[in-house]
Amino acid sequence: MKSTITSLGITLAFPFITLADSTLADEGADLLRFSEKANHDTLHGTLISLGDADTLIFKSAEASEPTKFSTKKLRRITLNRGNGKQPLNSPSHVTLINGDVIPGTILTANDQNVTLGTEHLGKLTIPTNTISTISPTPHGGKLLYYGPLNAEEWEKISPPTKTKEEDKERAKKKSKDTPLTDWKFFAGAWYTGTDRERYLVRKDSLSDACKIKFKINWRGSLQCNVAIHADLSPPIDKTEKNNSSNMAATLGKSYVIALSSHSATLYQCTFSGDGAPETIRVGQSYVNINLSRKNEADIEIRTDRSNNTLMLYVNGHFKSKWDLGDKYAAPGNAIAFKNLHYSNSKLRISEILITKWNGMRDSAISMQSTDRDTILLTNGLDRFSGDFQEIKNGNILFKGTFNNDISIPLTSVKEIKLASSKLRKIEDHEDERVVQFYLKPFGRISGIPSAEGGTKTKINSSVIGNLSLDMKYVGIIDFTRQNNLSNFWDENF
Amino acid sequence: MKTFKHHITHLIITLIVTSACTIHAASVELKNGDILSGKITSFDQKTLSLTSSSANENLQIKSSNIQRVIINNKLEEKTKHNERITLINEDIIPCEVISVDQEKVNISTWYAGNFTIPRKQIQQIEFGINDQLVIYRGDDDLSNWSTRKGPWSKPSASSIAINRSGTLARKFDLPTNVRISYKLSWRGSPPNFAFRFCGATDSPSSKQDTYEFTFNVAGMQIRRHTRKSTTGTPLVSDSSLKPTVFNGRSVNLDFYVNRDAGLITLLIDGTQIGTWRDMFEATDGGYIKFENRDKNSQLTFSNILIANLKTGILPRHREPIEKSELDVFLDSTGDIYSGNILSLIKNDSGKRTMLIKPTNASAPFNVPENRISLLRFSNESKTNTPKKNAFLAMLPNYGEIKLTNPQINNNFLETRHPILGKCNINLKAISRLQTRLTQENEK
Repeated sequence: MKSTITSLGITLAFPFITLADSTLADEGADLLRFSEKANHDTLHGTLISLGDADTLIFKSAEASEPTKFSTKKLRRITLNRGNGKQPLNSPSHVTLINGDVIPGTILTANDQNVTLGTEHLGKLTIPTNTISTISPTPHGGKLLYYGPLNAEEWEKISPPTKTKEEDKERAKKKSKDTPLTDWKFFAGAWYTGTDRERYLVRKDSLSDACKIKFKINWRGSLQCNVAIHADLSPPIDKTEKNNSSNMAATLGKSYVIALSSHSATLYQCTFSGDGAPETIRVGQSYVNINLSRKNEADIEIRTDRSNNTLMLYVNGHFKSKWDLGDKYAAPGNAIAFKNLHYSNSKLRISEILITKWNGMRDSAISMQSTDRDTILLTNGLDRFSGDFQEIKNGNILFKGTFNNDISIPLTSVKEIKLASSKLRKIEDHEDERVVQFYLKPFGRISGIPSAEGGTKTKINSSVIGNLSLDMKYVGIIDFTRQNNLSNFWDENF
Repeated sequence: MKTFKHHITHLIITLIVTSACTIHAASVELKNGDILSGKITSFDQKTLSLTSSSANENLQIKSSNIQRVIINNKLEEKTKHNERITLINEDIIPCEVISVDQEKVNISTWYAGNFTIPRKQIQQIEFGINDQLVIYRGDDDLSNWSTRKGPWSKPSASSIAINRSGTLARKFDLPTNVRISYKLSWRGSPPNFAFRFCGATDSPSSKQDTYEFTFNVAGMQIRRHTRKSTTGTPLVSDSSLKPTVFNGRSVNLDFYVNRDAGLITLLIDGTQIGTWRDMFEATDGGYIKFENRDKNSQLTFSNILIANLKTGILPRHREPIEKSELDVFLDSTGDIYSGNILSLIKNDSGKRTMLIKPTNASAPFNVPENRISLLRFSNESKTNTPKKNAFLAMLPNYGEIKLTNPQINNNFLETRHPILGKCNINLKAISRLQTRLTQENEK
């Protein structure tokens, strides 16, 4: 490692100043990941600051002094194991024409500018013609959960054991040459371990009627069970059999959607009179979800206990509404994930979003128009086009195509897509010095960075000009400009 | 005649035919699979009376043994109304909407007169369903197709099928602006299917003016072939629309060709996928051609429809709207407003205007009739669907109405409808009459 440091950097002789409040982060939890030009080297330590002229200053745990590196050979930097030091709180955001997403509170807007109060960039005034979408209430109904933001929000549980011998046997398995590993939390995502018996659980998460969205990535084959409304209270099993491998034995009464690359199947976890766990398939046919030759998907489950409804959407497309019979058979409020770990397959679960649901099946198509602005409301139904006029006093004013005036509270508006013909054209060629900063839990800003001091970095954005970015909200700095992190499968944080 | 013995109670000399009974050419399909063609002379809850060329006497058939009755009517009668009401019992009534207020909807039909329907008995009203004149419904014999390669068959009166690779082609007098739609279902291997329309010839050559739609494991594509090019130019290609996406192994395809404006529009399962511009000079051909390219794939084409688009305008935006606590208005371009539909009235010039107060609008506003695609009403009341002695009459424009104890009298099928009340339906509007059991099985 030492040779890497000397070849890429110059040892500096100035006092050590950390970027942010180190109490929020593990010391040395940042990681430089170099490009192929630098043999894909890695270096753990602490990022001190981004500097001018494609440089940064980094304090390696192995080095006595901070070191200056060239960013030209860097691929990515992960900060605080990819989690950042502090999450942003605002779900509302705007999306710029270059794909950047800026979380913040939308204060005012008109056909000239949008003003946004942000935690990471301060108060911003952004030209309206550089914004493709304004998302005041992007998640629709009341937000119940967004994450994962930290490992403490979740629990990992194993199937119950009947005897101490079973406990010992399980412990023995784990201590063998290839020890079983558990779910791990990195960079706002859960990664599966090798222990196929472990469930990742979040208790008291679901309301009676809610939407559950998450992104799932996989390596190898997709074999994931998602438990909904699990009560985690299996009764005592009075039978002689060892039923611990039955899902119901761990989850209690619940519904489980088994996702594979080809299909989705719904199971009901229930119990016989003597407490033996039973897993019964709901419905006769498999639901084709067509994920072969893919390695990621956006899954959405909508459930309404009072109306016996359970629906599945994959990548925004409706896939199934299951017939649950006369009674919804899952009384709990927990959600759980399990990787079946066939052929050493791996899963990553991220961007989990749970909101209340009003029972409406959203309009399937989000209309986009070249010459008209389009509004989608959070009720999952209303969608109208026309001329967006302004945001003022918490309301959006809009002129419909029937020359009708509409005034809608920001809290009722999911998003406003601005007509593409009104937007500024972006340059085809992007400056090679542009770096993308990924924020936690979501958001992105890109531009040419330079040193500012303290916890801040100067960024020159080609879309909105000079900015001052508070680095404590940044989880990943990407120098490859690949525009998404979906291929960023990496447990080495 | 022996096969009819369980279903025909007795044969009697034609004495029961009275002057009041008009004769209608029809095919009667019995529950045991027998089919009798002839002319209906009477029909009531107990008996259907039929004069058949295969019998010297009038046949008396127990109504309870009838699977369906197909009535041969002229197609011109089928496209008179441009609106369609769906009642809460799922009956679909083609009609013209005269007016709507907070309590009721007044409609007019050419085949059964006028009705006043309580608004809470209505699910939805569709507008602009029929800016077209039907040219063909796929209900004639296969011998009318000029090119027929492979084992094509007609599993029902209005569908065609093939269980191996093959081609079926035919020239129509296609209008400048034409709509072609059908439901494609498949079994066996995933479809590898090609459909040419507005083609210059029925030859397999790609060097001709034609559009070609393909659907296979790679997705859907529409190509424009010309006389000068062997490969054609793709107008649209969508790799996400693969056969595996369609869980029911079937898809409704709806092509709108506006040769005046050089536009092609495709709807899949009622949802508009897009409109694309044809950069070449308009095709003037009239051939359509179905081609199954996979010997292990069995394809069925049903609900075939070719229609003259009278106005040439793009079809109004269509998408299903679910029941809501509020009234919902879907406009012709895809906008959706929920709120309160206050009224729909005809003005002095005969044009209709709807007044709606959306929840978020500061004031009600007017919508001209040509901008309305669908109105979905809130506050539907519950209904008891009749089960016994119920027949389903198929009306023009995919209309259907459940009839309890219907009987024929004076060119009309008489019944009492639970929502519409007394109903006398002109037989010219009915293409098929079937038991509800048949319909449920077909679903």
